[in-house]
Amino acid sequence: MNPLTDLELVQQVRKGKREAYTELMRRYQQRVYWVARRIVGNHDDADDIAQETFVKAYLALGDFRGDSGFFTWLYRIAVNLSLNTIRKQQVMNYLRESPMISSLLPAKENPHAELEAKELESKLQRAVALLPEKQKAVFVMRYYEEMNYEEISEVLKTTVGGLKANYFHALKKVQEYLKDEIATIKD
Amino acid sequence: MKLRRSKIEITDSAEREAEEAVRRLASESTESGMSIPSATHFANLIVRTNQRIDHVTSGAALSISWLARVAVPGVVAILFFFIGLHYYGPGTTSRNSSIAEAMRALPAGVIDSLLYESSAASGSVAAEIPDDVLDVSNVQLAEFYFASGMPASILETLPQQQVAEIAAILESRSTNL
Repeated sequence: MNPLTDLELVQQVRKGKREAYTELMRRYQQRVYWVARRIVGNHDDADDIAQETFVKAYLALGDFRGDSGFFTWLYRIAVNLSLNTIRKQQVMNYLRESPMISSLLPAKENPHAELEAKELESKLQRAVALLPEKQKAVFVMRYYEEMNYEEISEVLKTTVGGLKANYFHALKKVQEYLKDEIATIKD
Repeated sequence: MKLRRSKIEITDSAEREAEEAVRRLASESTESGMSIPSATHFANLIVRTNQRIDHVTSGAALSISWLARVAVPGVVAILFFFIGLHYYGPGTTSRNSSIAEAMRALPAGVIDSLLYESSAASGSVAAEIPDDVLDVSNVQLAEFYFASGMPASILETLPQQQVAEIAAILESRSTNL
């Protein structure tokens, strides 16, 4: 028996079958998790984003018209949540840099600090973290997920030409960063 | 000042070359790579996500959301309405303030216009009174002076001709006596 398509599962969820939604989560949770993890750069946030993505998608399933694929739609939610998380991180980092404000903020508690430090040892990940957010999103989708430009265009609602330019500039920046890092190690 | 980036021709082959260069450099660099969560983690992720969905779709969550979106703003609006009514409602100022206080509260321009309007109004009342309201006939005046014990004053009110006629009559009567 052929497995049900995404759209058939979505229709079943709309009829009240929660098991169908569990099946959709099983299909896509790892891809959603990894796209979030590569954009935000840490496990905790990626885990939270993955959950939030499926919750938001479940609540908005009535609005899903099926114009694009279910995964593209899911991906769009995940990428937007990831970019929002990066923006919040940037604001928090900015605030923590100010000695007056940082004294008012709670101390950063992070049980995965060691894990994050390890991730930052990955030079490629560090290079990606330095990219502007749009380039970062395009880089993750194209380089890691190997999505074609039409799919990325549907997720980010940007023209293919713009995406190509973003990806190329991202590649060049990452390339330069890695070259410098390797040269430093050899020296 | 932002510098305009020189335009680079982005062809598919240029993109492929850049991508291959990055992959090569990434493999060259001695990196530990990302830690990969276990299969158990992803199994738990489904359970936790289902719990979150249950929570947000539960009655309690809906009632909290209803409270936040409808009930609380509604109560605040009603409260503000009554506070507004208490301070600015009709009848409350006339009960609590004197006319002098009310006048003091008025802007100078309004007071000027009130004064002007009142003078115009009094003029219009005077215009409504007929012109002949003070015209009294000589007979009425004579009756008034007789009634008030001032017959001598009658002469002052009578025209010269009538005074002369009366004097002639009185003189002839005295000569007849």
